[in-house]
Amino acid sequence: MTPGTRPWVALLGVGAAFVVLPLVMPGGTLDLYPFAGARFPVHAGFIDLATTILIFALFALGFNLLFGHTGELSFGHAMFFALGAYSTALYTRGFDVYAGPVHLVFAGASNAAAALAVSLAVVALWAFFIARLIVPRSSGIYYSMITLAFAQVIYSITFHWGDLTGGEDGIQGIDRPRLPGLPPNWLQDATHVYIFTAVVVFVAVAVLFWILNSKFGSVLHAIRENKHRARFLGYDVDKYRVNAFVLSALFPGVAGWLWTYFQQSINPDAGSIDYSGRVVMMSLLGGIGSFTGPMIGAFVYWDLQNRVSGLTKYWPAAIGVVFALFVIAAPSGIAGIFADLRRYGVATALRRIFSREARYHSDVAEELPAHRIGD
Amino acid sequence: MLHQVADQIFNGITLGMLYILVALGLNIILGLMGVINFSHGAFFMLGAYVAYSLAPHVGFFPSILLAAVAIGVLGMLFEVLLVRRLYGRLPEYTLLLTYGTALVFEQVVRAIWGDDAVRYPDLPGWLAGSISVGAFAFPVYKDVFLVGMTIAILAIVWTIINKTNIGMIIRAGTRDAEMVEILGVNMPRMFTLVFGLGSFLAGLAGALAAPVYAIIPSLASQWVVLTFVVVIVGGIGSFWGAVAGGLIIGILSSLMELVYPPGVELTGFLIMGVILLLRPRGLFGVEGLFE
Amino acid sequence: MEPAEYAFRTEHLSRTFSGFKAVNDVSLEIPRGGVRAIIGPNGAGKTTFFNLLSGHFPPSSGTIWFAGHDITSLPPYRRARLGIGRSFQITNIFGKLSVHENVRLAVQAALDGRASFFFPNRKMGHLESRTAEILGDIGLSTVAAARAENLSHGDQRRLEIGLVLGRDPEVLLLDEPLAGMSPAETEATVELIERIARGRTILLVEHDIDVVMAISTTITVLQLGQVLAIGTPQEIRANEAVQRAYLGGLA
Repeated sequence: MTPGTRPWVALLGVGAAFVVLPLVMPGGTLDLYPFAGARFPVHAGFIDLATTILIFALFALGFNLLFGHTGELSFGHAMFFALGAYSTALYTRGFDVYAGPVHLVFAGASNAAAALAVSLAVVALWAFFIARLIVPRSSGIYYSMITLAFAQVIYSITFHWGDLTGGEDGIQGIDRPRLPGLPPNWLQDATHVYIFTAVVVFVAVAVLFWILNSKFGSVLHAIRENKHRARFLGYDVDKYRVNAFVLSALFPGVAGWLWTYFQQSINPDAGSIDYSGRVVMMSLLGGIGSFTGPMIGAFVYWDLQNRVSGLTKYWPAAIGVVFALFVIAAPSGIAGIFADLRRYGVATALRRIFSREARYHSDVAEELPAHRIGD
Repeated sequence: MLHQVADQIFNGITLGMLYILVALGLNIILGLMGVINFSHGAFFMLGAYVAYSLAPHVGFFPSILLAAVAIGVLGMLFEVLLVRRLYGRLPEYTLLLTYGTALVFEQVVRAIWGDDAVRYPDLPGWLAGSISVGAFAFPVYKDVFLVGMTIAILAIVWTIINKTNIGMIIRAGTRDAEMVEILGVNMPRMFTLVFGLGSFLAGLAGALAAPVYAIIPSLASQWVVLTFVVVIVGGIGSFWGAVAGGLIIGILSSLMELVYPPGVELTGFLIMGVILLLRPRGLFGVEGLFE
Repeated sequence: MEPAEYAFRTEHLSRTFSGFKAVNDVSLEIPRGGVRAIIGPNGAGKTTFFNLLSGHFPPSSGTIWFAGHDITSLPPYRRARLGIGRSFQITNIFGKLSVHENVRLAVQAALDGRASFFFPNRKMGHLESRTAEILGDIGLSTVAAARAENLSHGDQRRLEIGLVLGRDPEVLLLDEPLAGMSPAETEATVELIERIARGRTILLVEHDIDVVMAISTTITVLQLGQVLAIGTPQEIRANEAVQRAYLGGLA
């Protein structure tokens, strides 16, 4: 984000992108590959893909709050996605199980807002619990290792506690909720699901925007740059890190809530290393240093997967290769490349991709959230 | 009942030996270079598959050894061609890069050997049976050969690390790579060798596991997490930490099989949680290395 | 000395690293006000002593008091809040951020740092005026928008000091602030140090003996982790033991 960008302009841009997205999907009017079919009148393409992209964009944005903005790499963020998703599923379906001698039973309810509240509560509790354990005792890649391990705890539970979670098969046949003020089966239509998702994600994006542009956000950036010095300036760095972790977990939690309603089912994959890794890849591909990067990354990732999986069943390898190349040559992602193009012109932008030296130098101070002087 | 417990303990020791090898490999690399190879699990998996493929052609012993060496060489190439490009950057980037390559390795394995489990050919006669001691029967391969082989390798590695010049450099380099470089040591070459050694150990573990455990493509991701847990419990960069962590997790998870089978996977994580609470640096870890 | 009169007081302070006693049973009181230099030959334990005072690591034994508080077990951020500021020997700034942001973060830590959660961005005004003030003090107003890591070495060292000033601390621990500076840069920075010394206490570790002699109120000489001598510059200059320690005298 360039300094001085009015917040509402940026958000408007995001909103516009959400409106345009379905048109860019395969088969849509603005389908990037000109070989698709029906174009006129304005025609939305494969809308489910668009919904998927938005949900994962939300997931990735939450992850990036922690990685791109605070500098902490969590390799287990899918656990929050899974917790949000399973909480929603179990709230909607109800359950009747025994945890040892304790009988847990719930009849099930169809209130979407309540399901969201439950999901967020579960996510926040788990996030807070493990953050208090992990944060004061580790940082860097040690921290990453531990988050991965804790994610596996959740995965293992969803996989093995069959009575509650349906085990490997998960839970199916979850009804979409009725939204207040709308006809009962409004969410049966895929386009309506997209609209609902877009609104929720947009609100979440706005909240994230607000967080990152606050003083809290600027401290997170300071922690990312020099955690050590931040401590000596008087910041209780570990408290900020814990809060950042919990906050970053809430977004995947919301994404999980959306995912369950969208898919109408849930299985342990949602909390797998695969899902955690995907969101890491999306963020890096899009650009961890920018606000919109993860959203761009979600789009690029799903677009890539969609196209390559049509060509070969070994598409994860292709994505792995692309990702590895980006890590080596373009760690600031696509957003970073565009920023370079804007700032330095094509020649230097290319040089920064191919030369390690060039990549390390920058004339421009990193743009902290814009704040208006004199407020 | 006692029989079952004893059986599980020995199963746990066998498993623990494998954990030790893989964790030690990761620890050596982590200790000297400060980076994590997320593809370490993939190297374990490749060790198993390569041993499986070689066995019908070269026989049992050579297949194990060749597979391990092949993975060691792969590790060195990997370091030179890829990992090296990330020096000077935060170690998180190496973790990311090696995650991407892990995806590639897994798909390569699926492409070459298929998605389904493959079965290592039968072991040579004398290894396939079991030895009876009193009321107990010990499978020769798992309890004698594998354990013995691992102990031998550990002894060799320990000797290298503690009694040779190279080992001294590795130990000194852990604390101060720059200083050691100033003293004239070719650090890049050291890094390559160490990466090769660490990968060799992972490949060896995979090769040793091949005859008795399932050989499937998901070994890579399974073992990566397991290795992390062992390293966290035992302590980063520590030889004895890998040994202690591997054995503890191996034995305790095997015993959990008897008590509450669905909780086997969780055993390791529980131990990890306890260690984090009580001794975050790990049983034999050095203070402050990653704080 | 009454608590109000000393900046730091240590009692039997020791720090051992794997058997090596970097700081060995140091008991002293550093009076408030003025510039108090800590010098000594290499390996004397100056930086370790500083690290103990600022909270880098806990002592192996002994206690530390700061203005009447026992700070022995306090972590760095708590000490900062009590009024101890510390600059670093190796420049330790927020490299990728602008000079302005560096200082603003320091000021924010002082004025809003306790709140570890977000709240609206609006009230930045009070931060800005103080930030501008400090930028003026350290002479970096003109380069405020530049990326901190792109500054010249001398300017980075001054930013280093600027970060410490953010909290307006009572006591500043300056660890080799003049390291690697040209004569011109040194002169400007010494002037800065003397200026900010007014109304504060400055503890200074510095190798440039001429500067130390010129600006210090008292000098503490360490050797092998212990106090060798404490006195005014003149007294230290004439001290034989100190001369021997430096092998060649200070004159």
